[in-house]
Amino acid sequence: MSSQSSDVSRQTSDSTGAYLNRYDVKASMDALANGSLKDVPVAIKDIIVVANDYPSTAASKILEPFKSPYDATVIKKLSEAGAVITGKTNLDEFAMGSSTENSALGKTVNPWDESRVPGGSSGGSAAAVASGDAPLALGTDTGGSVRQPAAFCGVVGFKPTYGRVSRYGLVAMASSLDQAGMFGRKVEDVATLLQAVAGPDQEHDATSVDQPIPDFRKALTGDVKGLKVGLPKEYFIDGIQSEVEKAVRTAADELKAAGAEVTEVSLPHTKYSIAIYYIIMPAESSSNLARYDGIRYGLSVPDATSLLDTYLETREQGFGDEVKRRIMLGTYVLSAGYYDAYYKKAEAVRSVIRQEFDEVFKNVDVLLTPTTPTTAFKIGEKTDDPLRMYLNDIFTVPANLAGLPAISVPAGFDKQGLPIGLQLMGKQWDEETVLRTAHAYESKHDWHAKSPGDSK
Amino acid sequence: MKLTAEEVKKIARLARLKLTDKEIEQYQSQLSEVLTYIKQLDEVKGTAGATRMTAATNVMSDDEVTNQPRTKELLAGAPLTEGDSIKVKAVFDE
Repeated sequence: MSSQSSDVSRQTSDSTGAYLNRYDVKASMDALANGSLKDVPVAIKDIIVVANDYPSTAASKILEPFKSPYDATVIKKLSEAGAVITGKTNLDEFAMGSSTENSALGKTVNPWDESRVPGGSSGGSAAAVASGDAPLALGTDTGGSVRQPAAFCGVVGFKPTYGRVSRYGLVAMASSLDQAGMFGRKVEDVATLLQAVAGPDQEHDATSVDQPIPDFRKALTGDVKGLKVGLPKEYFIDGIQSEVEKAVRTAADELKAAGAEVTEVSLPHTKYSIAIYYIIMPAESSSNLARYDGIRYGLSVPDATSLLDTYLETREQGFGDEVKRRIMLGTYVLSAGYYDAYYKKAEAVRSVIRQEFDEVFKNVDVLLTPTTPTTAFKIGEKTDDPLRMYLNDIFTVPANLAGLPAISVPAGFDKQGLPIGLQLMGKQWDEETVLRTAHAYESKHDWHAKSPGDSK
Repeated sequence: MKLTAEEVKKIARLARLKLTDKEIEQYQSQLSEVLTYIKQLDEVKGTAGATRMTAATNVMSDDEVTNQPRTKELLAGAPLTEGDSIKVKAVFDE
């Protein structure tokens, strides 16, 4: 073994299992304070493809041998900005899960309590940032997969507006919901990372949009005077951990004291979000995952007797339980005779959700909610009950259904010392207000400076 | 509602998945539970039509060939190849 790297950020060992492949690189955090990514280490969720000697696996056996012949657009942009990739982080297989327990290739634990999950699906990226291994990480967020692990691991997690960042090179799960997202210890760092990867990619992603790109760090004025903050009453429901609710309500009071106007608002169709999500997401996933056939790349079972047998054997051995469950569900809701009752119906109610947000955003600038109903749960606690696992995403899914920018910011700790996250959602393309509010709140606390292992 | 074993087998065939008897039994109850849950959408009457995620605009480009041949690179990932082709099991009987 060589002597310890001179760089502070690379001395930590991967004690949480954050990485599937950790690269041996030299990096420095120096430039980050000035809003630059030059030589700055960034961890990458292994669902984002990188063209190098390491595989891009999506934490699935079916992609375990796959080496990408191309870089994702976000990777290309990070390289252009001078960032250093520290490795590929663990996730739920194909980003399907809320705990990273569905990874076929590794186990990641919560840096704050090793008996608990880091959240998911971008659990490895969240753990890498929380444990101090990398100051920044990229993830993907289809139903909360950046914000929920950020909340569980006590870091900042941001999902930009759908279309703000190119999806080219993100292994597809549900294409109308997927979006790249960022992790950091501070809102300012997340703004720097967003700046580097934002922008249209008309050659490769037809859903990326040519919107003006503001200077996101400049939006962090610390000023929330006159800001209209809405508290949607449907996000404060029975079953929510009392400390989580208290943290969010306290945050509302603090924003008010800083000059914001806080009002209660209503988004009555919120309760249908998970039902909509569990039609649209598996439907799109089952179509996207039809490409894994054992023919062109990835795992292939050699001793199959026919072409059909090649498909069946490869997919049987290559896909894990949750992936199969979602392919089955998606195939069912798209099958002849059921399309109208499920997919079409879900798309129709989804449009109601979007309209409801549009109406509310005529009166408020930003919405304040909990990120998750509870803090991190125990490893194994929900694995036998898929529906219960799904309901954990109730507060994060609506922003994906409506394509809105949303952030999770550390909001203190519960009695067990586990991080609490609060969520801010904004209008489409208005990342600035979301980041400004998050930054103003963050600057009144020192939670982002706390690390796992500090005396509490 | 509860899916029958036959229904689960039919979906598995459509999805190109081979399931064990244990998996079939497991999916019968797990999928049924989720399908029952999502049925609550029937309560919502009157909706606003289909969703469009972003205000997409036309993107124009000249009709020029810009891509370079990447045959070797792409074939490198394939499990079975012959020359510049990917090899698969025969589809037709001889």
